[in-house]
Amino acid sequence: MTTYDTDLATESRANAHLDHLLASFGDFVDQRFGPIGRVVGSEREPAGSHQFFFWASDSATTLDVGHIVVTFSEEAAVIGVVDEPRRFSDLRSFLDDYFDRHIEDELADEPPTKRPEILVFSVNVLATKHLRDDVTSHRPPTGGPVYFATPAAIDFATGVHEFTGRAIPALLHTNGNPEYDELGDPQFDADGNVLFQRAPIWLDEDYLLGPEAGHGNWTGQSGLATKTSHVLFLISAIFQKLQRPNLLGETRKVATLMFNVKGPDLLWLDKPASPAPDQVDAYRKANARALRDQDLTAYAAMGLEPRPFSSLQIFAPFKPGGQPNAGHGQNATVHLGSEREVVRRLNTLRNRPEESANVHPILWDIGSLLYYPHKLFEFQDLDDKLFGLIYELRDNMQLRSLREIETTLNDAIDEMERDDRSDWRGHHKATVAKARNRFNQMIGKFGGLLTDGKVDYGNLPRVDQPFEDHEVRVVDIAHCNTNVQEVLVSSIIGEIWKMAEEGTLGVDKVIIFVDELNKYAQSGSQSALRNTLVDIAARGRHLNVVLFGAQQFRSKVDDEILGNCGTSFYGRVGDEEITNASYRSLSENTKTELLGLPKGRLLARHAHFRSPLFGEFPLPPTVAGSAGQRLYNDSEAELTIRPAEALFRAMQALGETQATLAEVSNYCDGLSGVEVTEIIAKIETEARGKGDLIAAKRFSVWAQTKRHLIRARSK
Amino acid sequence: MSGSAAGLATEFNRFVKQCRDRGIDFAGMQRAQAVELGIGGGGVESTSNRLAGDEEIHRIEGPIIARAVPKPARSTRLRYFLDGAQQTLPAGRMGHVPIYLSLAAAGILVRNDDGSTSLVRDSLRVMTSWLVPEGIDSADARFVCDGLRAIGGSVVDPLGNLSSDRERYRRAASDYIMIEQRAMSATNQIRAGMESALLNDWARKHNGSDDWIVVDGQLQTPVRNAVGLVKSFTYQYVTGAEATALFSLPAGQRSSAFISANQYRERVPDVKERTLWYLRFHNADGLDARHGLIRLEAAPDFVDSDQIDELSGWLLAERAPRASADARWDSLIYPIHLLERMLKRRLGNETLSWPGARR
Repeated sequence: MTTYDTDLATESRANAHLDHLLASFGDFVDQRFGPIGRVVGSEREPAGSHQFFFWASDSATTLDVGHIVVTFSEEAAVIGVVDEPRRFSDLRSFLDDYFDRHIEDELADEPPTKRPEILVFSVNVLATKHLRDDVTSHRPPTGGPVYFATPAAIDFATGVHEFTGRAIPALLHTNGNPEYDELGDPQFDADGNVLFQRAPIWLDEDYLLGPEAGHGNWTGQSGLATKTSHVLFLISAIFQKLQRPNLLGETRKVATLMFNVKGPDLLWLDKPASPAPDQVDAYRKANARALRDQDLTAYAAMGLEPRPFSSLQIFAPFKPGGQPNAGHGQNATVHLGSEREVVRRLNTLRNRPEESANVHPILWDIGSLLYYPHKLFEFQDLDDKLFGLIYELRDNMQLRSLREIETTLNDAIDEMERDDRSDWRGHHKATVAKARNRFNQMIGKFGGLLTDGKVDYGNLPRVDQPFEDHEVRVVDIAHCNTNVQEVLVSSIIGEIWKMAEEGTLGVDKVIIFVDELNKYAQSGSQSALRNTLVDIAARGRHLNVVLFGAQQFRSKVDDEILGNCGTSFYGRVGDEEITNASYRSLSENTKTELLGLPKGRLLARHAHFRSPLFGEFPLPPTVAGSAGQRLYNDSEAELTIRPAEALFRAMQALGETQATLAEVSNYCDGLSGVEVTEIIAKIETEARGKGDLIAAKRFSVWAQTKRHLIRARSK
Repeated sequence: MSGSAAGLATEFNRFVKQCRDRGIDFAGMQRAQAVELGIGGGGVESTSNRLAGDEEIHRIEGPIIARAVPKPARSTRLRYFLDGAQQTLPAGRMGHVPIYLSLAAAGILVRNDDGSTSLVRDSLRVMTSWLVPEGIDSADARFVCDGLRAIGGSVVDPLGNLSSDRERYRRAASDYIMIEQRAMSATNQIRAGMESALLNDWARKHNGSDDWIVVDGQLQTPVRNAVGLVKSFTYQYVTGAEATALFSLPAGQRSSAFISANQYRERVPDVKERTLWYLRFHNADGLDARHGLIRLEAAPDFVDSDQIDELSGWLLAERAPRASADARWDSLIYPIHLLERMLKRRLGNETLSWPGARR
């Protein structure tokens, strides 16, 4: 009679095979932590190529949803992300437990034996790596041990080895296994808590910014999903990573265009989130959230520096009624370059002169608006006859100002009355009269944006001019009426798109960030802007324009835009929204997670990922808009830069190295903040595009600045 | 066993083919289900032909009456649980002589301080045997026995106790029904032997310990701090008013204890006395009088009423959690149920590819 506990020969063969797999894929498996469970498949729920199940060891208490694990099929490592946990016991029904309790005196009494419970996780497969590099495996894992994945496994699972572009960190994934020091010992924080392994979730530059795929989309509830914060973080990461040479030694110039739609959200992107030592008190008083240790650690882990954007340019129309108007005369022109106290009249919250050297006006003559007749006129007014008259004024007569149009239409009506004719240039008298009436209302309808004359920007920066490397161009439309908002977004994006088609962007990539995308590209709607955005989504990656869109309701965004989006992020989503078909590819557990996702945590989908991944990101590198407003713009603001220092820094940013702060301060002595700010704007305009000349010392910023300062002091 | 569990059926099929190639009249019966109605085993007395009261008992607490069980002052010391499982699977037949695959498993479960349970390391034992009337002693029988040994496991003769009477053995060896009954008995003995060995090992290791072990079924060895839990019984020790008191036991009460000297007379040669008493787990109103009624067996020196009360109280606490998944939940305690599942699962692994085992 033979007694045995197990078949030793079989066991030893199985162990040898496991050892072989562990040796081959050792860098994928956290062997120090050891197995955390075993793969299990049943008739009802077998292990498959895309999903498998494992029961978790009772000791694996740190294992949770979103963690990445590794197990094996016969000849391959299978890496997956933990999805749904379910805890089973042998209770057939809840009633069984209820009846059990009828024996005990107290509900809190514990029976002597704990009913065993098994925790089973489903795992969505991210990647499978065969022992042989030339074999692609989709075989499900066999019943065997499961381990926590290492950062190397996570990199493999997220396709980093297949990246053709630079790796751009988007999120930081936290696993349930510890970080280890050089000696292989787990690391702990100051409170004695274990430090969990964190690994960046990378995006492929070529699949985020083109040409392979492109565009990004963020969805989630306003104020809870931290969409804008992550966009800012990601753009900062893109800027930093693209300035580093790739394998071919190339660097990429990149810039971004954003529309500020809420308060001062995007107005202080040039100010750091972390204060300098002498600014700590001011930040604290302003309740500005500085970067925490965990944020700094996260930046370091992703190879980034938490620095603000060095080249922020803000554009804004004037406040309604604040726009300069032309004098009398048919050719009257507004010369913006010679307008005084422009910043205070702009419809933006960043209006403190000392902090406004990078704030520029947008002012249109009617000529620009005539290209958007749907925006100019009400739907019921805009018939074929009025269209015809607009084309006449715009294309045949080349009229560019309201005054010209007003004079022309007045003359036309006079002419028809004088000659007793019913038409003018083929346009009926009633149409002409209606047009005159409607044009008279234009200034009010587009308050602050439209002036009655022609507009001459002089040397002032324009919102549709070519970009500089690392430029963040913010168009502040937060306080504009809907007409102005829509026409500005439409026209500016249209112009940038035109520049892209003509190859005059000035940089290698322009990222256009559009918040409230469901407003501008609503599903099923038809508008020029929607068509442009769809066009950008379809062709932008080839023309170096990338669309980053954010919205609360993904389900309401045009399908073509979303379909062309290679990368998506999901923050906390509302329950009314998540039932829509846009989320049908997410598992039920993932959807439920999204309902309660905390701030700073997002779900990411990317062209290289087989399953979406959860991850965290640090606070953005710039001060929050409202805090920036309190710190730098309010009347009690403590950190508002002195005019002379602002000028000094502006010159330094332009490459000037001769002047000292003391010299600049001496020259500024006696000048008001407004005057110095105007000089900063002038010198920045004059130096724009002259980087090479400045470097070659053929253009002296300081000499030019001194001329302006002396001229201002002599006034 | 030379191959994996999945390879057992394959190797046996190959063996059947070898027999046929050799001209042996051998037919496979692997698709037939196990001889046992269930594969639980243990906790059930073998059928008794004795009438109630046939055996003399010594009433150590006076007449058999219902006794309330006070709540124990000490927390439970029931820490270990021992059980076994078995399966007797028809494998084939040489002509009209059936051959069986016998599987038996036994193990000990330990309950930790936090209520969690696990198998005691190295306590799990599994035994595989082929039940063949080896005494036929023909060339074909020798070939079959050698072939089965080569597959793995030992060969046990289910008619072994008849070997001294050649004529009787010869007749029994051609009695299909007799061999089947003896095959199941052989598996029973193998399992019981494994359980006894485990209990003795436990007793040796825990000598002097305060911990108790609950044995599923009769207590075959009178070990200190061991209690046998008999879930169903075929012999009635008391009659008349005492029997009425027994079958009317209210839930949570026990009977008076008594000592039986000869209950194992037929099965265990070196008979030892046991202290016995009954305990009612659950209310039997409207149900069979044996619903929730268990018999407990302890060493004969366990006679102190307070100790019997305490042990009974510990066992009453075992009613929760309830082993609802088992039809015998009313007389089963949860740790035994858990252990039984583990053992059955283990037997299931052994016979994964055996067609009859999956029916």
